[in-house]
Amino acid sequence: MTNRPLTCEQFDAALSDYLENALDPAERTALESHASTCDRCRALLAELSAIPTEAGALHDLEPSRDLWPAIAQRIAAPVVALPGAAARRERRPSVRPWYLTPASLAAAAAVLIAVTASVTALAIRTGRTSAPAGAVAANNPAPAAQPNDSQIDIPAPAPRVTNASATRPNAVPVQEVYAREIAELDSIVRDQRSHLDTSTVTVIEKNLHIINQAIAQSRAALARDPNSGFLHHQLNDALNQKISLLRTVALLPART
Amino acid sequence: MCARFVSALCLTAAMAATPALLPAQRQHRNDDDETSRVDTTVALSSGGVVELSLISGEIKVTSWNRDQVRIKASSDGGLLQFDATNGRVSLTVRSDHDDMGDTEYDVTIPAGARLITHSVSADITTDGGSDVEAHAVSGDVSVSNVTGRATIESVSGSLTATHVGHGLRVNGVSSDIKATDITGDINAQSTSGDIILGSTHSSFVHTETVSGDTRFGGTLDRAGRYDFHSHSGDIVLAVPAIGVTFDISTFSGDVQSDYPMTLQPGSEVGQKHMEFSINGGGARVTAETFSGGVTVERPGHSSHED
Repeated sequence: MTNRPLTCEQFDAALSDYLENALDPAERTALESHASTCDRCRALLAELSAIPTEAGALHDLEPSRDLWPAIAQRIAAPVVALPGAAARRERRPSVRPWYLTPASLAAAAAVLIAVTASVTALAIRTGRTSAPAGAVAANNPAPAAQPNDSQIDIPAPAPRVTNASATRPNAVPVQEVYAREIAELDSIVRDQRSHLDTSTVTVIEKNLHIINQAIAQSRAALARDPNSGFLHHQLNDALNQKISLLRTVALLPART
Repeated sequence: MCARFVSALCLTAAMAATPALLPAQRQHRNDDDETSRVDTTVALSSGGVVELSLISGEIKVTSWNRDQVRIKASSDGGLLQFDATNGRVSLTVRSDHDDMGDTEYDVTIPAGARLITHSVSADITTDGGSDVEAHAVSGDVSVSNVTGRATIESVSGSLTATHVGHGLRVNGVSSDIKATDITGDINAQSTSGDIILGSTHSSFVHTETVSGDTRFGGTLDRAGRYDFHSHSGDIVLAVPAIGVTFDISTFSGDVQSDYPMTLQPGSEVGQKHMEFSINGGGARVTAETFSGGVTVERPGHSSHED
């Protein structure tokens, strides 16, 4: 950006950085100067500037784990022992398919609740802060929760300081969200493993190892080039693959 | 057991003969008459659902132009549970002991029926159906001639789809994935398995692997979007010489192209990221790998044939 008056196109191009507080003082002045003389750009700036304020006025939404008892009750209802029912079940078991057993449904529901809740929370919070994921993660160099290091192995994300997220106390570290989701899924998978066939477990462990290697390689590369968006993307892809695999395992029927 | 089964079949035959008079009533239910063998034909309304599940053995499904479902099933040690209404037919197997042996399903469904199958180690092979879901754990899955959408999954079995009309979703863990003659959106994911997409006609393709290789050979829509992601696997793209804009990134792999790389204004050129177009650009093709190589080649000029 130069000291010459901005065009509307240049204004549009710089607007995002302005709202993120990522422009230097001269650039900010040039952009504000243009807005003061251009009705269209002034209106646009006013409209976009109001969004964080309006969003900030919204109530915080916390995903509720209290949904679980009702869901568990509904899942469990068909197998509650009723007078006389036990004898009938001995003679004629439920027609519910084996892959829809209470255990598998419970696992599925738990996974969905856990993942959905956290993803929702992440969406709400990152939406409120409007900060890029990498930048948000970068300002929280020490993830608070890494409950299962053997499986998760998530070191601190590489620092990447931006003006936009430095002032946002509510920013949620993306890596922390990943760590939490993986930990929750991993606990389900640990319980599930004893019900799985050993050959299936072998396949799963081999592929988890492949993914963990990919995560480690991405992190090592990020440590050398912490500003690489491509490497952040690669890391997130690998983490998503891990979540996807753990979800798959969590939803497998028993005796497989 | 046998007498009850014959009675059940007689009842089934009578009700199948008058489906219009009993559109919503149960045609057949044999969970009072569990058996190790089913051989019957029942009516199924247009757009009805056929749901089949078993543990081990084999599921084979074909289709025909009748509003009927033909079922032949047998189980070595399990008990078959068959349920049929005018809109839904289901067959599953259970056992009171761990080893129920193999179970075989040979089922013919209406061409317009929706099919849902689940197995553990059993292989699943289907031919026909409007929308098809096939889920296995270690069994191989093969679906073909699906007029609508297909969803297929296995942890370690191979996954094959041929001639699918309106979109394909494939998920595997160590599974190799092969999809041929697919129209509609394609979404394919495997952790360590290879992904091969051939003769596809899609405007949206998304693939993801960690260590598996990816090979794409299909037509491109100039307004389409094609994304290929891998960590250590190679990506080979056999693309026709229409307008294409490539966005290729690799951290430590090589990039090769049969096409001259004409750079876009403002393109980045470097070891890890390059954007270039052929024939003026159009279809957006993105390929990203960490350590795998990316090759763009002309169809039929492959140096990476399997």
